[in-house]
Amino acid sequence: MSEHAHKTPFIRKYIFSTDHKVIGIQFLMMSLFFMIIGGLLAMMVRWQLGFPEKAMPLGTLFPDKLMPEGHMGPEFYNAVFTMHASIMIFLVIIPILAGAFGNFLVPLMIGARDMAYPKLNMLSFWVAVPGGLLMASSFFTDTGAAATGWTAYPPLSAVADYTGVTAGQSMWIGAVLIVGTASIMGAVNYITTIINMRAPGMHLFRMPLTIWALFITAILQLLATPVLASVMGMLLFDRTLGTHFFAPVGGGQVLMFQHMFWFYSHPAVYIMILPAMGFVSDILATFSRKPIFGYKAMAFSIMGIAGLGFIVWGHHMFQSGMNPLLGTTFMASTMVIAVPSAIKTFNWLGTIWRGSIRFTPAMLNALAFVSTFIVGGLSGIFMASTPVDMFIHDTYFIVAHIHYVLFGGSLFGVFAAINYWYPKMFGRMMNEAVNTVHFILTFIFFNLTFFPMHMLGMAGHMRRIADPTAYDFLKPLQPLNEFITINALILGAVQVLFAGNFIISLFAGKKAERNPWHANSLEWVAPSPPPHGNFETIPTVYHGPYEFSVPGVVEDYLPQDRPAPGGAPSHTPSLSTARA
Amino acid sequence: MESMAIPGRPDGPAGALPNHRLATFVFLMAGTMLFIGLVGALIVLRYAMPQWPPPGVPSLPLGLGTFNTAVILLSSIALQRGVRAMRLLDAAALRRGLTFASVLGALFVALQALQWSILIGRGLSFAGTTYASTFYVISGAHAAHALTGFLWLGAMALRQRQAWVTDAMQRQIEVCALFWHFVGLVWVFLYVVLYLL
Repeated sequence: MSEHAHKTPFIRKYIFSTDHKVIGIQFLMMSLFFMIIGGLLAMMVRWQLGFPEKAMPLGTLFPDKLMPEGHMGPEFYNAVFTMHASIMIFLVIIPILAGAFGNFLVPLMIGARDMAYPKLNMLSFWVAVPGGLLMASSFFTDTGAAATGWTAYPPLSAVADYTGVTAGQSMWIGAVLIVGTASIMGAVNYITTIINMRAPGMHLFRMPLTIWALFITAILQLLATPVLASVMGMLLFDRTLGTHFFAPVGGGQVLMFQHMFWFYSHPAVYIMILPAMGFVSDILATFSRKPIFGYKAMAFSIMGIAGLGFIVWGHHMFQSGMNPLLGTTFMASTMVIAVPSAIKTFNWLGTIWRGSIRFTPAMLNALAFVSTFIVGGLSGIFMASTPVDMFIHDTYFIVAHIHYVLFGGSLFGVFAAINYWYPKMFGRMMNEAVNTVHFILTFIFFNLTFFPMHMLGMAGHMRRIADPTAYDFLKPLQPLNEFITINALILGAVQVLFAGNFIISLFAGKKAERNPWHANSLEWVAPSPPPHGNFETIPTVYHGPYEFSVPGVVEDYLPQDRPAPGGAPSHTPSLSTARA
Repeated sequence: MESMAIPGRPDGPAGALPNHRLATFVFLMAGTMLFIGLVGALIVLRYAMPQWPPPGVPSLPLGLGTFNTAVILLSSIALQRGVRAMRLLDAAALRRGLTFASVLGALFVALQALQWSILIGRGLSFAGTTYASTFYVISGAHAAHALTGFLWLGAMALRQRQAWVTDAMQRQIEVCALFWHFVGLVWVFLYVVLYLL
């Protein structure tokens, strides 16, 4: 295949490409594009909450119907926060983790030339794009974009009159169905590829934890997304054809929507964090120059989190009127997830413990992932506990929690991964100084933005309200809201550093060598960037990917395709367990 | 799908299943979850009603449903005879099997459509009751799969003209056969849920 790569026409090489690396980069670009839109929407949300009485800068550019004289009305605010969440979840975090890094890394890290089904892979991307455009374009319909929150609970979402949004909400449902289809196609491909296409010697327990995480994530996507499809289909029928699946008036069950939605969306929470956990595991080991602590425990805890993820959905519904006994069982199962999560956290700490740490931008972002994941994980336990949840449910506490795990967790994981794999993706290095400054500022302003939200939540500040000053008991909190808004605006502005570095380095970055970080996994065996077909010859794998600082080896790393010194290749899953 | 496959290399740790069968099983797990979601909703809605079917709605034509179940099962059997013929290198019998399976599949979908029109004629409107809505949505989702299946079978019956079967064709036929058996199996399950329980 690679021999005719040079004469491939532009459109086949960069647009309708079947090369997993090009598709991965396409997903990356799509997600980063939507991240800009989602981020700008977040800025609008924050402006409104911090300064509800002041006209938004540039607000007059919006049509008068949405923002009369630059002031956001409550209806438009509903659409803005709904679309911020929907875009960030469905069009940024999921496609960037599974779509971008999943596509780019899976064949490279297992030593395959491409995915099992390259055309299906291409189709998956070109199905996702119209889905994303459909969702984003709903802003331009007469009645605006979806405004029910990203959870789209009926009856609010089922009857157009309740929000006043007609086409926008249905387009949102359609977009979720389409993006979900793309997701399932990707999952089928990843699972088949990882099971069947590993290089010789790449036993399951020699796979990097990134691959384990992407594998388990694909299983979650495969099994959870069709249930979302069924419930979204029923919601669409309720909206358009007058059925009563969720309308009590015709015998429907409102709560059933929440059960089915969270049956997907709780596993989806892990779809949005497990891959980042995998990236971070690899990055921490590489830059600590130490084997990952407890490799098998790490792999099994990914499986544990995923398995438990299917039986905890009810913890989103403690206040829904669900049977309280059911709430207690969901509370118990949710708390159990703390066990595998803690295993991972302690193993990350064990990995960096007394390592020769190199504070590259990738490492810094990975360390930020671990620390903010601890905060987000602990605040999760508060809400998992039904008596506490009764108090903080639907307040800014949950907003703080989700941003600690999705921004503090997933997005720092994404920053780490971009820093780490950028040389492999584009063959050039990013500027480390700029990215270090970007990291420091992002970390500071991330915490200044989202930590105070815990306090707002404890004080009873409801989420999803357009004007906090309309409530007397929230008036004393307004300075805190303004503080958050100012920090959020700086947090948003700081991202220009990263975007600029990303773009400029594409053309002006230092040329990357094959293995700039001296890491062990197979993607670093291939040239940077790898050609179509990835490897000159398919590598043979002799041991696990975490053989750092092995006694008797001259360098402090031992790539997976290089046998351990002293004769026969090791047949143990990894030398590190043998040494331990 | 045949041209998409890069078969697992023989020296790799390829699993017990070749790519195309593995990928199909994985995909059908997603299909299973779709119907589990829909049937799950049916169960919830059913137990929320004091009486099921609700009083006054026309009953489902059990005879037609049973006959149609037999049709789709016969179609699966015909297809399996074709696949067995393929393994015995009998291309003519393979083509016969594909054709019979496709025609019976088309008959199944046509009878489903007939059944819907009979029911609508008797006043079982799509949006009227959750009983009707769940029936139409579940049987409709299944019929969409069956439609895809019989068209695919028919296309392969038309394409398979030679006295030999290429590797790519063989893989595609295996994938299609797994899919078609899945459609039949799901229908048997749905028949029990929708008509008998």
